[in-house]
Amino acid sequence: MKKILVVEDDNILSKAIVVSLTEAGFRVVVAKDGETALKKVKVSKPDLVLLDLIMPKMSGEEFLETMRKLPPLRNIPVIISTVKYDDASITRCTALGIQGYLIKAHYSLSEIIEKIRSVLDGAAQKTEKRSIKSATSKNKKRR
Amino acid sequence: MKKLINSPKALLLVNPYLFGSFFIVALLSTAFLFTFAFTGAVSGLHYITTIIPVYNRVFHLTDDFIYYDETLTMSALAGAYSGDPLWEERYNSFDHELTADIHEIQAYMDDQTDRDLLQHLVDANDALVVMERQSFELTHAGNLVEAQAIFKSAGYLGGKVAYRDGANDLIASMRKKQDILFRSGERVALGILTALLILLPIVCSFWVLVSLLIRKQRHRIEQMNSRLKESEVRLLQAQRTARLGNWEWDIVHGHDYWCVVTYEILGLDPQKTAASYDEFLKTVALSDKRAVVQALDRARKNRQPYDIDFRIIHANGEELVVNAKATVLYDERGEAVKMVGTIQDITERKKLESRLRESEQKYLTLVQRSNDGIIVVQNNIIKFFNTAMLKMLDYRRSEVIGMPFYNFVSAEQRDMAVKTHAARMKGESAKERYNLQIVSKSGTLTPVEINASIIDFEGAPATLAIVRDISKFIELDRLKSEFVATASHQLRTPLTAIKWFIELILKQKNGLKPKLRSYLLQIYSSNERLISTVNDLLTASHIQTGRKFIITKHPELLGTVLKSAISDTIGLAREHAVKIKCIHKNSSKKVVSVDREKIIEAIRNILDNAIKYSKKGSTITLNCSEADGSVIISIKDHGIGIPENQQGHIFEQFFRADNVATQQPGTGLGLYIAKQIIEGHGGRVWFASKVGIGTTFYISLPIT
Repeated sequence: MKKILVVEDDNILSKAIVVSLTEAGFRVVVAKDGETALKKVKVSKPDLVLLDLIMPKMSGEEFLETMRKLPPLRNIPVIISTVKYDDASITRCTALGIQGYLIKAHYSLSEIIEKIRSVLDGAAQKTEKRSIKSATSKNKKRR
Repeated sequence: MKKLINSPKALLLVNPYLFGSFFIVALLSTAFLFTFAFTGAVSGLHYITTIIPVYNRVFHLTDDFIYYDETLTMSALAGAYSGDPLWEERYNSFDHELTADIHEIQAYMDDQTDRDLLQHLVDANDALVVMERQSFELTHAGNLVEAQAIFKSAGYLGGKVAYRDGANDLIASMRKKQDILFRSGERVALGILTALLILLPIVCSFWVLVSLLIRKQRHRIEQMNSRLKESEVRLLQAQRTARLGNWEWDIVHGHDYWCVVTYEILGLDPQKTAASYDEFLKTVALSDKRAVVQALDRARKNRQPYDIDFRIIHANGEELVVNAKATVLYDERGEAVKMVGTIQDITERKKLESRLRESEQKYLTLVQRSNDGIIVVQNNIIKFFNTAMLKMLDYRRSEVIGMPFYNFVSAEQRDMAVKTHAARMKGESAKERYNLQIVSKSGTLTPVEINASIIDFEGAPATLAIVRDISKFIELDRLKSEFVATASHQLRTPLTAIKWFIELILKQKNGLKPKLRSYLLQIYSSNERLISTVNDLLTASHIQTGRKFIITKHPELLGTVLKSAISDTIGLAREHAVKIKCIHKNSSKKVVSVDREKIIEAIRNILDNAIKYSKKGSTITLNCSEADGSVIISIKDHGIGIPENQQGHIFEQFFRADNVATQQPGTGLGLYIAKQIIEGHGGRVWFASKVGIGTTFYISLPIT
């Protein structure tokens, strides 16, 4: 059973994700801010982190940067799930190494799970920018 | 004659020297002629009145000598033969008459010869008289025979012959004299006549010439006079029109002269008012009197020019503004003796000037008080600017005027600004409204909006630019965009919550009542639309701020890009029962350098519109072609079309055409975003549309 660390400061959204992931058969660990997330990622060593960017205490980008510097955590796949959509943060996160950049409102829960699964399936493979690109193109999907 | 007068030669004659010499010759010859004629007349008269009667008398007297000789002889003879004493009485009376005659003729004798001749005659007579008296004495004595014998004596007869000869000699001498006199008189008369005959035509012709010249001269003078009169009238008219009068003031004698117009300006009647300095001063407005007097004094004493504007009170009570100018004439001692000047009514001009000044002031105020900078540029040189402009630049006035305008434009935009100005000056189409950054003295950049137009400035074309500081607008715009961005972020979280929880509900295995399920789907669909709107707002605000709108190009296959865009819109197409047909052709295999996500968004936005406004069951056709190093994507629909009067606006933010605003939901941002993205790639987007038939959008993108 794969372990997912959900970093999300919004309780309601976090609840929906947790419910959905649990139903899909994942073990879920939740953190409400970057600092907590950093502690939990060290302790629970998740298979994947679903990371929000706008958070109190430590932002998602800072968390990602710190995590990528820590050798044991460096290779944990990270999928960004955020409402923040601008070229600057996409560029920054991509540079730090991410497996997906999802705009929350544009993706349904099932699509997020599908994305997580596909990333975990290909976890053995190296981080590939191409996949990120194709994933992010979906960010604009509407209706 | 007329011809002669009008000929150049005749004109030469009118030369005063020539005329003078002709006149003198004519005068002299006339004088000569008259003297001649007078002399002739006098001598003629003398001849008639003196010489002829004298000679007549002389001849008469000499004739008498013959007669008296006979009479005396006869009387003496008769006495001797008759012895009648009566004959002696008669003889005495005849002898007495003869003696009187001799005395008379002696008076006419101017010549010794004649006198001698006369003496001979008198002597002969005396001898005869002695013998005749002897005969009378003999008769008295009664000795008649002896008395008669005397007459027969040789002495008497000899005396008689001597007397006759003497008388004849005298007569002959007289005749001779008369002849000579008469002959010389004839010659003189002939000479005078000839001279008169020769002189007269000469004198006449000279006088004709002189009179012709005089006539010519008189004609000229008349012409000159009439011209003078005409020009005087004209001058008066001109002076009246210009309201310009002239005047003279004889300072020494106090004799003033004002022309008619001067009188008219002062409102005085020449018949009632004599021109004088005092009368003039009376008309000057009280407040200006001092200045006028001082100016006159200064002109007279200090030789300063007299040129002054002042007010006068016209006789009708009206206040007029006049200008007076004068020249002062000085005598050899340097004393002012005379002032010659003009006076002009400049009331109208003053009024116009003041109106012009007011209006100029008004416009100057408008320009100077304007909060926008106003600047005039000619051949790149700043010719004029207002206060606001100077304030924006923060330079000193002298550092701006006459300087090239591009000195004050940010380095990156300098070329563009110069080219735009040059194009406008050449009459080519140039941007009228554009944004620039101007550089102040301290180096601060101020964003401004330029609104330029072409004007005529000092006789040459120039650019008039209204320069508006838009830093506040830009700041406001930035704040607005940031607000929109923040708001959109804030909105996304609850929208996501709604989306996800509906999803969770819909996934409930226990199943939902179909009605409830359909309601939830309605909520989901509305939420999706809201998410889409927020998304558009955010993209638009990113485009505006430019900060979060970065185009990162990567090579992509055109076909793949198009497929992605189409697949994103399949749901919407299904909803509207519209088919999308894609004619790939070879161009779809072209590689284009694009920001994949953004270009897909642009194409999708155009496709969305095509779908939304298409007729049900119609087909949208995507086509690709290649031209001039670009690929052209066309998206053709059979929709409602864009009204012609709104075609110019459809790429504007929040613009929605009249015929769609009420039919379909939308933000009016889709095409704006598409255009910004395409242009950000160096491409172009345009369209052709007909209401009721459909619209075709074209996107051109450069091929890598």
